[in-house]
Amino acid sequence: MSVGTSLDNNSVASEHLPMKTSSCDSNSQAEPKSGTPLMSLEYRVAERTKTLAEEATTLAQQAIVLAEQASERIKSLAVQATALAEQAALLDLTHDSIIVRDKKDCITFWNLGAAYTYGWSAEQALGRVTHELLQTRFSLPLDQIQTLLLLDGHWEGELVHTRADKSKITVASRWALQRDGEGNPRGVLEINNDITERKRAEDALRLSEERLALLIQGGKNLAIFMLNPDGLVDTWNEGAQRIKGYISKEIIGQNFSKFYIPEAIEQGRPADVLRIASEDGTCEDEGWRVRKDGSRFWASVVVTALWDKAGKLRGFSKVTRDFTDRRQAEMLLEETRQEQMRFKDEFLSHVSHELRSPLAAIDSFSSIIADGLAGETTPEQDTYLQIILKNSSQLKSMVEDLLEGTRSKSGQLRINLEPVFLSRPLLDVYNTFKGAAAAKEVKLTVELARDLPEAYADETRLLQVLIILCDNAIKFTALGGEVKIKASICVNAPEYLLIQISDTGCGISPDAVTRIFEHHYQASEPGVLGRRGLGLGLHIAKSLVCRQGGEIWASSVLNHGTTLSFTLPIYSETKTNPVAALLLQPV
Amino acid sequence: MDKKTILVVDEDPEMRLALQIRLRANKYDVAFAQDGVSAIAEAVKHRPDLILLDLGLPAGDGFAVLERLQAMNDLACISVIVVSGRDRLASCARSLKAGAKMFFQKPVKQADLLLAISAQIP
Repeated sequence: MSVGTSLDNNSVASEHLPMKTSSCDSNSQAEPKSGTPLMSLEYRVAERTKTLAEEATTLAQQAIVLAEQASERIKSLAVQATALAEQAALLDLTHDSIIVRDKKDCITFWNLGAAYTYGWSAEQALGRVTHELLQTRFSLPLDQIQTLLLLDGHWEGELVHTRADKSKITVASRWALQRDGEGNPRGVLEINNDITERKRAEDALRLSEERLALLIQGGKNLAIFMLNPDGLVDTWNEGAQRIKGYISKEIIGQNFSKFYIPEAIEQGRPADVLRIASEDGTCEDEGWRVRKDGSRFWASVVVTALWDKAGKLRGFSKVTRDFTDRRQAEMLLEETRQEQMRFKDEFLSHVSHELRSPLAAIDSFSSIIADGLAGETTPEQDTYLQIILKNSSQLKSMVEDLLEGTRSKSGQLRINLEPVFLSRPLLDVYNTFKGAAAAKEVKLTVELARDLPEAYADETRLLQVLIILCDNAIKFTALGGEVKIKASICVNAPEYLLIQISDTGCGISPDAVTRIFEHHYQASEPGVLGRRGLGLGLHIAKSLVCRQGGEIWASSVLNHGTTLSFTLPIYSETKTNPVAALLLQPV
Repeated sequence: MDKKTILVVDEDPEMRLALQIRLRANKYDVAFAQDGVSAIAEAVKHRPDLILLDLGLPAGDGFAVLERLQAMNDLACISVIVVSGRDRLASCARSLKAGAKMFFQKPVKQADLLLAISAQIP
């Protein structure tokens, strides 16, 4: 006890120093047996000092270690801080908004992107409740979203946010739930991407697509569909189903030639249509088409070629209308029209016929009296009779004008082309006019080249032409003249026959030579007896000649004569006759 | 010289009369018929040298008569001149095709007709 006490009295660093022991056994320690109590005290102090020094050294060493540890720790913390700062800087690089909020939805992190997007700085945003600051419009009720978030740990959706300047934007938002060490929700990481522009474009596109689809679907009476470049059906619409009978899966991938009638397929019409469309851009067609059930309908079709920006053919659009009703109506209308015209022609014919009989009677009996067959006449009676005769002649002309002028186009019959030897119609016309010619002492001759090949013509119409031309020739030739009809092979065009009717009559003036074939042209030569009516004769002749594939023209010298010439194609079995082909095309 | 006989076929009595006066004045004998059936009958009976035939006849029109005449061997050789009020365009060609030698449209110039007749039966 005394050692302990004496040491206590010195009180060096009594609390911190590791005391050896505080038990009563301390008396038995390190006490040299030899020596006085004073020596042992000095010794004891020395020893103690040594001990203390050692402990101090140890402590110092420990302090150094701690200092080193602390310094390491500070360094690593500094490194961490730098890394964090770099990360934070990275987070500020993006234009996306990166927002972190705590359990109560208060903003704890707000990156530069968020500041840029929303117009609030970090200072303004931190601590605010996110959906209050941004006046968020949710696509689902917020509690539903939060439930999902808790379940999945994340959520994605579109939100509408209001910026600081009150404008609204749409964002694609992704939320991630942050949990603490025990798994309890701690906060949310929210990353938002401004998709306002994209949404606008998408909406516009969708709207236009909807409109287009509506338009196409709404066209119930229009088949609107697309073909690929080879003519296979690519798309189908309700109208197409309605008109043609196929549902889309039955027809997509099939060739559109399926819709054509067998005759058209044989002629290669479908391929032609595509070719024309790709050459001209578009091809319009009308014709019979076949439905799924085999029934036919009359279609009006427009096929348009579709090119992409690179100029490559992408396919065709095809719009088909069922015009069966319209066609039927058209045909009915046409029939009615034809019937009306036929009626009119018949009526006129009947009327003219009826008018001619009394005219004939006036003419016959007046001339009988004038010729003295009913007794002698006085000169005065003769004069008056001549007046009667002249007027009845005029009346006759007017009746002819009436009929010719009002005859409709369909009053003319169809042209039937066949091989025709010219000899017979020439002989017929000669016989018809030799009397009239003789009456005027006009010499009428027919010259037929030997072995003349057959013409490809309509004999009846040819005869008509000859009659019209001869009639004119004789009419306009004065007493004692000559009318010659000549037929030969055309020198300038050996595939044609040339027929010429020349007279020694009064001739036609140069400016009239082409005009005489016009509708309603009238020769107003003084002193010419017998008007040519409404001047339709030559017009009709021209029409008939042209319809048979020939040409007609006149050459003339005033006061000397006129030659009317026309050509007709020579009949050839081997060569295809273009005129015939023209006339045989379905009307 | 024997007189030539001409058969005039026309429904219209006035027409027949006018032709009768004309033809007789020109020294022809004249026979008459007013419809298709009697036309053939008279043709058989009189064996005319020439027939003046109207087209618009009852009991078979002029074309039927022409056809009939052509069908009968001994009548086919008789010259027929058609004298008709019908439309020339339609009727002329058809008449000639049916066997007529000439076609005149009424009213016909008497002089022309006479010349034609004399040309047919000289």
